Amino acid sequence: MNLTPLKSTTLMKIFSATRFRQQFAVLPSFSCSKLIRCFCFIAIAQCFHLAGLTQAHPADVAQAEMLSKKYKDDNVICLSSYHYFTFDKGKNSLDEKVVVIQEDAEMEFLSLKKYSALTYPEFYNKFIRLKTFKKAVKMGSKYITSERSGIDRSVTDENIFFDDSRVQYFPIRFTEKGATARITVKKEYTDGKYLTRLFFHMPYPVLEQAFEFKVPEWLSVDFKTMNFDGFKIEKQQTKKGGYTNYVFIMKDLPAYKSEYKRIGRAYTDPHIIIQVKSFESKGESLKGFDKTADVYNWNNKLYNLAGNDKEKIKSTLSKITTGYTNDLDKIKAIYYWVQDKIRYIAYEDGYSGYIPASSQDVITNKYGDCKGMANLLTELLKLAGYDAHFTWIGTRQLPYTQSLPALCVNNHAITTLYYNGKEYFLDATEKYAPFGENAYRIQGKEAMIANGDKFDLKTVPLTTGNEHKIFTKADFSLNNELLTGKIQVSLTGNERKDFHQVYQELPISGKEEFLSSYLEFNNNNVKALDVKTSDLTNRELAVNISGNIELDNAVHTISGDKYVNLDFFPKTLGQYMPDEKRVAGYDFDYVLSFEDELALTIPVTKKFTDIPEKLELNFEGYDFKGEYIVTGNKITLKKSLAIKKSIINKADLTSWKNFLDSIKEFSSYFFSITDK
Amino acid sequence: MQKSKSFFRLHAFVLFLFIIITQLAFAQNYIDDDFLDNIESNARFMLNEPAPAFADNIIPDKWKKESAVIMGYSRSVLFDRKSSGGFFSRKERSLYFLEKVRFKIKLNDNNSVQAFSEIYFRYGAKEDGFIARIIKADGTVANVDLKNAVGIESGNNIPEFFQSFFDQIAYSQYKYYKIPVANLEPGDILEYITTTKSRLDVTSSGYIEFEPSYEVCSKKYPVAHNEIIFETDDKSFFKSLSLNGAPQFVKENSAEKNFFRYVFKDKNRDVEKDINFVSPFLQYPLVKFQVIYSNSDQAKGALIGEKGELKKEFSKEELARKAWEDYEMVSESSLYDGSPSVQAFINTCWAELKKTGIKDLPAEQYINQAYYLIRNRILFRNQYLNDKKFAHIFGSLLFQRDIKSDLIITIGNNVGKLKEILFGQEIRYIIKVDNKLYFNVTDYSNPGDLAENLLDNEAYIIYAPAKKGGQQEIKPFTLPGTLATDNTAEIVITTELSPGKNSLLVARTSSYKGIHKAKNIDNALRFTPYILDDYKNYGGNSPMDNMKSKELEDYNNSIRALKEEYKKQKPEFVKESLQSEYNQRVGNVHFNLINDGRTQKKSTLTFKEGFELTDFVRKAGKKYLVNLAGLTGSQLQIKKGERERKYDIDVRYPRAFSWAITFKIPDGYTTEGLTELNKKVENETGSFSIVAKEENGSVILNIAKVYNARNISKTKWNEMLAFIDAAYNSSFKYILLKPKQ
Repeated sequence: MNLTPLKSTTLMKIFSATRFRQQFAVLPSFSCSKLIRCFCFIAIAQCFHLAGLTQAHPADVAQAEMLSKKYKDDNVICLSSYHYFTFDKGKNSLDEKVVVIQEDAEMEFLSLKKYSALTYPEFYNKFIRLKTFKKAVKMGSKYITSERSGIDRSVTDENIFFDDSRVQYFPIRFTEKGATARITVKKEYTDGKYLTRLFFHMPYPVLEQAFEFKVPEWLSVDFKTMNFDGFKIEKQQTKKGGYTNYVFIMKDLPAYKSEYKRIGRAYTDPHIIIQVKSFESKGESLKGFDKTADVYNWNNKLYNLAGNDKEKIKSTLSKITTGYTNDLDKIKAIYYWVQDKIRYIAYEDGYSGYIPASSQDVITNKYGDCKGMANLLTELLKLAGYDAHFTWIGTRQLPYTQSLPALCVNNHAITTLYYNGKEYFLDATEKYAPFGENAYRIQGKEAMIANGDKFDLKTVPLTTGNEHKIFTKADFSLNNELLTGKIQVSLTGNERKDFHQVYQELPISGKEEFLSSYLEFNNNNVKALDVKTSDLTNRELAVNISGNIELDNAVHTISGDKYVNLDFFPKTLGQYMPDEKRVAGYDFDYVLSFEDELALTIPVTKKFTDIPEKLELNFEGYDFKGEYIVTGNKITLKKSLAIKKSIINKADLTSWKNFLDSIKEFSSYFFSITDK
Repeated sequence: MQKSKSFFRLHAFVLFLFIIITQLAFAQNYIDDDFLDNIESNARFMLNEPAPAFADNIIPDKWKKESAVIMGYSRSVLFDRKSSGGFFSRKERSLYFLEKVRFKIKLNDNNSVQAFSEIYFRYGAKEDGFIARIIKADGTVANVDLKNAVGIESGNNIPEFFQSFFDQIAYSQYKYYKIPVANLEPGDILEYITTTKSRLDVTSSGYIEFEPSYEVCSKKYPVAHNEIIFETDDKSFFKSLSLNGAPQFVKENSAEKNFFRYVFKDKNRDVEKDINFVSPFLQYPLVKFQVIYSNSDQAKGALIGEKGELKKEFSKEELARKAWEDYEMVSESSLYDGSPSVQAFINTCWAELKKTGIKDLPAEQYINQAYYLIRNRILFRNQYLNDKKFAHIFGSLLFQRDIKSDLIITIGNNVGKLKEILFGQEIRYIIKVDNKLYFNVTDYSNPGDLAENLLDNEAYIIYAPAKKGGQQEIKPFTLPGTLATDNTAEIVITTELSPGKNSLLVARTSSYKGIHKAKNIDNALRFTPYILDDYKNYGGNSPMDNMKSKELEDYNNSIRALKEEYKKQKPEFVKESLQSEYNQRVGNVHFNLINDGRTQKKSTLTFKEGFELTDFVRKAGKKYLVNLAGLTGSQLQIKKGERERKYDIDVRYPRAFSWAITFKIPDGYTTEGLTELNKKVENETGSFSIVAKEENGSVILNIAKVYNARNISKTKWNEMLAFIDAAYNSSFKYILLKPKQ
């Protein structure tokens, strides 16, 4: 061990050691934490390619000095990010003629602090090849390319069993302000339709972001600009030698920061959607995605590769519908069977991410993804004689309509049933959703409904918070310092469905405790007893949970008077209170309403005083009403809170914050009980 | 699925001569078709083996409402050393692990179906085999088709019940696959059998200790039948000890000549609930065991029995001999992987100490200096030394200065009792000088600081044998415990209402001593530059002393950058910590470290925080209610499921908390409710009290909570509940502020 006096490199160790300790701040006791940190440090150190003894060029140091004053909260800046796209003709793995796109990209990063780090990733899969991925570090005025490759990992989502999503990344560590690194990338989109969107913002500030497209004459391509309003983006278009060059440049971008329940960036951030409309090959004009019908045709072609065999699902259908005589009951039986019996296990490797599993395979396996379930449901309903259609749809995180012919519009599959003059959207992945009700995540979205060579477009109806309600009624009486009484909670709409999705998947032995704790509202001072429920095997009924309740530590006797806060489970939505650093608005992913009626009866010798004032707040997307009503020796708190729209825009954050503050204040009020 | 709590590892694991660590990331891919034929045929023979425990498909009535029931779990490991090669090729010796696992589980609900919807198997050697099948409620049996199995990327955890024993103890990285189970529903039984063959090259290894195992009998689901079988040839040794009522390993006759067979069986094991104040190893039925390979009949220095013996315990002489030999051998080992030897480190430390002028230092001062030097060296590492190395280094440095020290050995008090030591890894080492004990250093410890895991235990003082292999003197010794007054948290809070009277402005000074300090110091010193001046503690030179001007400039720049970074991160860290403590948003956070507690003279950790709490002030008309007692933070609540106690109580160490809260009464207001706040509960197990009064325009609360003892009988549980409940309920109490008339 080197015990010579500490040098800069040793200080680097101090900093890095400390930094790595910081990263694992959640570790428990010291004796475990150091060893675990050691393993983590070794693992990360193996990944880290030290910048070595880099000497930042004085010009870079000066630039870092200047930029660090502007970007005080950032450690690293991207000086330039340049992506250059060229187009070729090729064939995909289905032997079809397609446009192949090559991307050449180079990014340069500058450290704004003495010690800083970033991780640069490039994602790829079976349709997007990563041909070159290099890192170079600047020494003086020269870049030295590292011989190491990026670290390669699967990035399969935890909800997906298997797919081909991978990443290669470089961890880059800087030890000097003004140190610079460069990343070089070559990528190939084996089918141009998989290059869908390009966003300008990155997780670090960017001085200049440029996308350039060299479009040959044989190719018709459209660049749809999204959310450009309000941003300064330079566009250039030049023709030369049989090509048209399109350039989009944006400068001085702040870092994209991930925030809790942030509105999806597709709604707010500028980006380009690349639409390969058509191209010529050996005199033949071939379609890309020019119109919505082109997308449909491609989707439909892959859908038809599922290889359904209705003979193989007949016996299952027969078992499902045995005993049902009317159509609606049969339809529901089929729908609920698929919901209940088919587990969500998704293989999304290559084209299996687009071609549904056959209906007979889904039945045999009793598992599938959304496409597999939608396919099975559609086939069962059709076989039973109903007008059902496989349907593609985008969830609400995607703001695009079907009028945009691109692959990024749809990310989900359901079944559309036409029945009795109405269309019903049946999503078998939404377990316990009753027939006729739709999960919020597809509400307001356009569905692309298969209809042979044609397709229909219908919009899933939007609901407001009123249809998804949690209604709570409690009647207390005073029992010394204890509030005792009866309580009942009713759930409708998506709240009911969400309850079932949790409850029905619990271990048998945990269900009773769950129901008790449901009535305890996450309040440690509440004890629920003798809990009863409505029929929880019937997903169509409102869920009712009721029981006896004891509420402790809610009554405070001071100088003979009692002070009571009846609002024992205030929905102050504290997790949605924006802090001063919040950049973007919120997307709750749901709408709902709460309605509470909490009453307390006291002895006739007592009276209520210090009754809080009524509060009523009305905003476009949300409202609140709270009132204490005294009738004789009974006080009732009536409260309602409705989230009618799922989005709070950035411009509304101040109003939203004031709304939450007001609710919080109202819910904190006590009233007193004194002698008459 | 949860990581197994049955195979639990100590931090200091044994030396391995063969560890496979691969840097390659295995890409996810489908299983090779060629493998599929092999996999099933390799395992098929197991279906024909008699397995009475697996014959039935019925579960006991008492478990019908459980999410799942493990009907059978059988693990069999055969250790066999074989030689190969000869005249024309290199002679090799290999140790083979032939494992067979059979697992059968009844899935009663969606929850367990979901948990077992994916199963895993190994195919890393061509002899590996795997068959899985489902037995439906109507008795139909269907094999799980493995053709769509996909490879698992290395580094991913393999869930409990699927990882081979060899891979667990050798940290090897054989290839695993996963497959979804088709047609699985509640009411089905899932069964799999697997056989794996692992190989260890022991040509140049005369001795290998495999990772000790701790099998806690209870699992996530009730277990009807659990068995573990080890068969070893005459080159491996086996030892095992059962605790807390667990069944024992039993030696049986082996079908193979010169093989030895050890069998463990456990039946009808219920699930143990997670509860407070339990040390699992001390209270739950568990069996611990280890296999050791040795080339020679008598592996010198090993804690093993005779060939073929099922060793269950060691005498104090055996432990002392082992501990002393290990202690002596430390000097030849490297300090850390790849670093110079411990002896080289000692030499360097000694040279460093001499430079600081230790010649005329009083003994105690020298001892402290040596301790702090070791601490300083560890500070810049990301790994602590183990006890043994610390004891050896420290003991050697004392020896250099002719200071006599004694070596003490014991076991962690959360692992077991002294007579239950079965593994070398369980032996803990301490140095004793006169009446003082010196435990292993941490980044924050001072000489003489006690270690929570080593309190109150029985120990031995062991001495060097008079001659090699001779008798050793062994003296019994009891490690000291602590009192509540040794482990204190003293919190002084001054607080007042904000100008808007809607929040509390709080200034809090916290002081920690003893084990309480050890628990809190890591967070307190996070993002503080205590490392930089640490050299002063052992009298060392500043790193700047010999720097040239350019180096000095670089160094100062680095320090500046570090401190700036800390200044930014510390308040954020403290804020998150406070928000978690008070379960609400916290604003205006400040932090000031007053004393880092890392020196003997100033061993109390003290720091000051300022913050604003928004949920502590309520209104009732024109009056205010202030939850002053809630400033103690969340108090432990024992919920209804734990009110009946099955096990004795282990609170780990006695401790005392005190809060002195001073609240400035706002102008124009009077206070009420102080009388109602007063509370006192006191008994043998502990106490809680609040004394509230008004004085000089302030409300003063003195709150105290004490856990009197480390171990408490379950018969005293209600007494404990009394003061715990009192503390919990009091934390919700308010004082009233009334406007003056």
